[in-house]
Amino acid sequence: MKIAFVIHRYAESIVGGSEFHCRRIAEEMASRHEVEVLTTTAVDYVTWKDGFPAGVETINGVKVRRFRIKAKRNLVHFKEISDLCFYEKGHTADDEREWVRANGPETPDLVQYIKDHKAEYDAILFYSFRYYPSYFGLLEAPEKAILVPTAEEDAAVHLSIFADYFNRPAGALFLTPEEQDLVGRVAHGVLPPSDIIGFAVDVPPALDAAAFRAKHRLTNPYLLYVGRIDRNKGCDGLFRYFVEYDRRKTHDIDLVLAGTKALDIPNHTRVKYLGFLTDKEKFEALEGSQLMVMPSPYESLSIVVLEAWAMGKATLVNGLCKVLRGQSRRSNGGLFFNNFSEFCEGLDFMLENPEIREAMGRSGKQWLNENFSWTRLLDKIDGLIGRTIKRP
Amino acid sequence: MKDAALLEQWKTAPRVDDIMRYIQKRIDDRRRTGILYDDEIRTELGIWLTEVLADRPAYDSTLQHYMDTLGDWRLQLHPHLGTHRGRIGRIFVWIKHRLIYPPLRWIVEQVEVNAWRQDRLNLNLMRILEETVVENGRLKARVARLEQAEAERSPAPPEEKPGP
Repeated sequence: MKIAFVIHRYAESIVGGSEFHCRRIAEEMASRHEVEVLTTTAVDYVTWKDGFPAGVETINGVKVRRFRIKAKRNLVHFKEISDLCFYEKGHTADDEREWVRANGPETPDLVQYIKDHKAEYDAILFYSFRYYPSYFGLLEAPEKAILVPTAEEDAAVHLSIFADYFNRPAGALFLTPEEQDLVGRVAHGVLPPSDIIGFAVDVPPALDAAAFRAKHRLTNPYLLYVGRIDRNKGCDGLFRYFVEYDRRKTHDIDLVLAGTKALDIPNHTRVKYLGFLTDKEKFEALEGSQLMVMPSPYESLSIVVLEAWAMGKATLVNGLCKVLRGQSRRSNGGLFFNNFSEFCEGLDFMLENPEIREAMGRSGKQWLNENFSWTRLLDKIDGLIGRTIKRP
Repeated sequence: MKDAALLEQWKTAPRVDDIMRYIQKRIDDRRRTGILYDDEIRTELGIWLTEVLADRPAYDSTLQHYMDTLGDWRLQLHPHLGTHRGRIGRIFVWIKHRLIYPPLRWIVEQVEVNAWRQDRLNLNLMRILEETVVENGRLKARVARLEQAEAERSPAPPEEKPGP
């Protein structure tokens, strides 16, 4: 089969959740099928600034076709149209389509290419419903489309245009049961055939956590956060909670942060920022930690939480995020908090009961191994394509 | 099952739902017996208020709009009155400077004083809100304690006899 993936950004250096998910699945699918990625020249997820040349290249054995972006994101206009669509009741469906256009990255050439060349592909996987390429691209080839919405419980998913949009593709792939439930509710219970795929984790070989700790002078036990350090990821709340927790001096623990910084980090002796880590360093940081924290209220699938479980580490996650709470309960791999009291008690419990904490890490790892593997995941995608898309 | 037995069991088979119930019970016990510490209520409230105040997209976008579109949005406190119209122009400047500017200045000062008063009022309202939440927490804990003491003191109700 010849399969296309449509995604707003694509590169080895891009670490965003849906982009990483798409790249790894495209690379694994390339061992079974002819795979091509249709994407943009964008490198920056805020402004969609160009960073890659338009045209065709090969990344890890996958053919990548890039299309030029018509215009960078106008942040003032995007905020105004967001305010209109999310807070004003009188807005129209055209306003919402304008929101998708303003959200970008606006690539009419990519959409035109899908319209002109869709017959060449057996199936097209569209990633992330909220972005221009997937929204407008899918509407040009719904009969060949498998949507991977990567939907989160935020304001965008409840825009009225998406109720119909979620019914249009031939099939849909979800990352978690919570996401499937959310999209089903938005689409008024009418969904195309679908499956839940999750994600498989690859742990790099030859990790050396002791050397990593020594290199970064991490002498105290630490709670680890890995990911974009951003208000949208709940990091501002995490900082307030941790600083206040530390003021009580119940346990001797540091908060270690790794990832791209989009928010000021408090100048506090117990908060340590390591910057951006390589994949191997990230797993070493996980291995050296006491537990991993994920404060994000919006996640369609937290890959880093799965990575923590792959390393046998327990997690402490934001319980307001249904996906994180559901994953924790299904795997028994970690606790969740809904407020400051639960954050303190949960962290105290983990630190006071190291044997239970380690048992939770083991439980998370076992759940991951039993439910997510590349073979199982690729079989599910092939199965859904076979069931839903008619081939000549 | 006793807490110690549960903790022992979770060392081999952790159950997140049960552990979360155990943690919630610890929080509730602390609230009931020690009364939820005032500083904890204050912290919770402070964090909540900060989050509410931080989540203001309309204000955010308005500010963004002003900062992006107007280069001269900063306050200019001293009026720079001048003219290119010669003698007649100087008359207009005199009128603006002597007749229009003083009452305008008085109005601006009034607005400033009122804004300051409003700010004080807002602050006091927030303090009242904070005190109300703290007092509500105290009262709830006190009622729970009294109810528990009452339940322990009063004898079990007699069993109802079946009718004829």
